[in-house]
Amino acid sequence: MQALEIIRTGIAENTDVDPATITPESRLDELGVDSFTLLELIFSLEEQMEIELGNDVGTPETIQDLIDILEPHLPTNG
Amino acid sequence: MADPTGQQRVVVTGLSILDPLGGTTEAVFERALAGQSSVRLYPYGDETIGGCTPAVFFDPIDFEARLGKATCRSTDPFARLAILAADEAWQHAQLPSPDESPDPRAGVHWGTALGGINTFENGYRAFWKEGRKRLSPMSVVMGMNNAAASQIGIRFRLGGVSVTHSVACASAAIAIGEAYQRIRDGEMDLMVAGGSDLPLGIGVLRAWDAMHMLAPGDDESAHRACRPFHPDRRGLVLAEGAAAFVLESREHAERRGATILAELAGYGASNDANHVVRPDHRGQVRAIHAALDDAGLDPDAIGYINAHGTATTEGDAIEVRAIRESFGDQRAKRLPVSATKAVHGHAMGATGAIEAALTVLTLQQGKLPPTAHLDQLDPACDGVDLVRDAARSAPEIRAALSNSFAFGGSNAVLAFTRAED
Repeated sequence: MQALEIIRTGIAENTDVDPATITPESRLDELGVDSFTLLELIFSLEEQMEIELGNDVGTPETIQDLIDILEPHLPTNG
Repeated sequence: MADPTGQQRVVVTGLSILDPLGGTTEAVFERALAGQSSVRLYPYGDETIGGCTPAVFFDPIDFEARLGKATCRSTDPFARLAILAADEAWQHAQLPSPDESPDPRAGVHWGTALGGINTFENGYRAFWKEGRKRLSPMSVVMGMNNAAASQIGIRFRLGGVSVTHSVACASAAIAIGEAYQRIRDGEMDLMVAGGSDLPLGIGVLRAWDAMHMLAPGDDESAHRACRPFHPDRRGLVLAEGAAAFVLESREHAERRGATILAELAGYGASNDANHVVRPDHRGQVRAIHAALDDAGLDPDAIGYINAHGTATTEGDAIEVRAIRESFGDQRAKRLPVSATKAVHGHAMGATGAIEAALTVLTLQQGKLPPTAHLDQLDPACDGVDLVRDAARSAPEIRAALSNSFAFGGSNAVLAFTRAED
C-alpha cells in the first residue's frame, strides 16, 4: 500500500519509531506523534509528494486516518 | 547555611564546556593550560559567495543519536548544544533523573546572543535562493531565542522560572549572575544556567567582517589568529560553543551530599551608557566593584581574573585600564590576568559561561591558564600581571573574577571563591 509506505517513511524521519512496527491500526499518540509533530509530518509529506493537503486535515488519530487523508492526493496508476 | 541577612550562599555543583576539540570539561581546561588552540580555518558559504576565516567550529555532530529525531526536528542547533551542555552539567552534579512533576524551586537562565538565527537564515535562503514557497511549521519554535531555555526546562522539569538573556557577549555571564541572585535571595534552590551560540552563518560572519573586527589567518596561522594583549592583535575569532552550570544554594547542595566545585560569591553588572561599541573603562570598573562588593571580597583577595580579552585593539587596552583603576596600580601589577579566548575563541552569548567555567577550574586546581600566543606585549596593555608563555601554579588562590563586557555597553563580572572557604 503506497500511502502506508509514504507515511511510514515520514514518521521514521520525524520520530525514533521503527517504521516496520507501524500498521494502519497504530495510534498516532502511541507512536509519539502529537499534534505538534503531526504538523511537521503533514508538511514533510506535502513536500515529499509535492501536494497540498490543505489547512484542514482534521484530527487524525490512527495511521488509517492519515492514509484516508493522503490517498486521494496520490497519483493513480494507469 | 543562610547568612544573617537571610541570603543563601550559592555554590557550583555541575559544569560543562562543549568545545569542538571534544573531551571532558577538564580536558578543555587542560588545553587552556597548555595554550592549545581550537581555532582552525573555517570555509563558509557556497560556490557563489563565501570565503575562509579563522574560527572555532564543530565538525558535524550526530545530534539525532544523542537527542532523538523528534527533538532534533523541533530545535535549532543552538538549542541542541544547550541541551547537551545542560545534560553534562546535570550529570556532573550527580543529580537524579527529574520527577515527572515540575520542581517549582528549580529554574533555568540561558544566554544567547543570536539564538535561532541559523533557522531564519536557512529560511531566507530557502525562499530567496531555492525558490521554495513554504517553511517548516517548526520554524517558529526552532528560531525563537528562548528555545534553549525551554528545552532545558522541559528536560529537567524546571518549573520555577525560565528566562533567556540576550546581551551580546555578556549573555551567559548575565544569565549565570541573574540565576545566582534567584538562589541567593531564596527564590530558587537550584538553577541551570549558561549559554550557547553558533555564530558562523554567512550573514553573521559577513556582518562581523564588515566591521573589520575578525582576525585574519590562513591554514598556517589560523590557530594563533586570536592574540589578546599582543601589539599585533587583529581582532576576534568567532566560535561555536556552549557551557552550562548547575548552581544550588549551599544548603540544598549539602543536604543532598553534592560535591561543591566552587562558590559563586558575587555578581556585578553595569551599563556603560556611553557608546554602543566603544567600551568604557568607567562602566567596567563599576561592574568589577559591584561584584567585589556583592561577594564581600577585599580586592586583595582576588588571585586571578579571566579577562574578556577579545583581541581587539581598543577593547583589550580599555579592560586593562579598568582593572588597574579597580584595584589600584600597585595591586594590579601583581594581579594575574589572562584571556583564554586566544584558544577557545569568542562564542558570543556562550563565552561568558565558558570563561566562568574555566575560572572555576582555575580555582579548583590552583593553576592559572596563560594567554596563548602572547610572545610580545602591547605597552597599552601593561600594568597587570599577564599570565603568558605557560600555565602558572597558584595553589594559594582563593578567589577569582570572570569579566564579560558586551557590545551595547553591558558589563558583567562574576566572583568565585574556593569551595572550602
